[in-house]
Amino acid sequence: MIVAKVVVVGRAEAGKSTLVNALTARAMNLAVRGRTVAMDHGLLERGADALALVGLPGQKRFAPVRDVLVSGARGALFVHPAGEAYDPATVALLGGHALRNVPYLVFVNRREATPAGVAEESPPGLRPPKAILSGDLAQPGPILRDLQEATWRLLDL
Amino acid sequence: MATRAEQIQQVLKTLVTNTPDFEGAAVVSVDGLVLSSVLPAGTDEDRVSAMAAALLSLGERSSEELQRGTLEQVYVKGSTGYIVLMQVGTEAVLEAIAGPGAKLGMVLLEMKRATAELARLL
Repeated sequence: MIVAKVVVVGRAEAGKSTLVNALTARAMNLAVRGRTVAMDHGLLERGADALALVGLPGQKRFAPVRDVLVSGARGALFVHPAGEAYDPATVALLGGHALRNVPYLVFVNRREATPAGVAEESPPGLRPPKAILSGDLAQPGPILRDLQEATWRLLDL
Repeated sequence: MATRAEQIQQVLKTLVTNTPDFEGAAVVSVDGLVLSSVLPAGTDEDRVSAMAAALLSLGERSSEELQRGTLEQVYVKGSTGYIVLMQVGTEAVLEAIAGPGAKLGMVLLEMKRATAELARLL
């Protein structure tokens, strides 16, 4: 049974679709040449329960699609490429009407060699995240399991 | 000799002026960028184009999941008219808007003709 919807947010090319594919079963991506045009969708299953993870399109022009998809979300995963400033459009989305009371966690996506051990700060101007995790989605390891568990904990489930 | 862009624009203009029920039309890339448009003044082309691409991809996937075969059209009916999306080749979509009294059969026929012409141009 699907107990809640969790949206995956972040700038274009941050790794949202990659994350949905890595964390969930039966993931679907509606994309053109690697760019999401509608959404990603996958189920994060635990026993008989599941969370629906919905990845948003990141490019600016898909703002109306994002507005539709965030409605009813009970949590958010903010995919943030390591070493960058936090994406202002995503910060605005998390602070906006649909998501402002929704708990979120930050996943710092470390692709290739980015300095490890550098603590990522919370996004400025936003309520703090429930957690900040960091890792490389391409590398096998405990990060996927940690992220899955952190997502359930995000909703106090 | 008209440029390709001018020719595409002309196909849309012809569609909108020659068929009484059409109120606008646009050709959009499958990743949501407007290629050409004849839309009512004040329309946000960029938003409309992005949404057309999203609608098309959702239509395709739904058709697949529900085993309805290859997508042919996406059709939206509102209280004051219709929106119809029809693919042009593999890389573009023709989006047409029609008034509430539109004869859908005519709309689809004209769109099919236009998509054939556009496919040659794109």
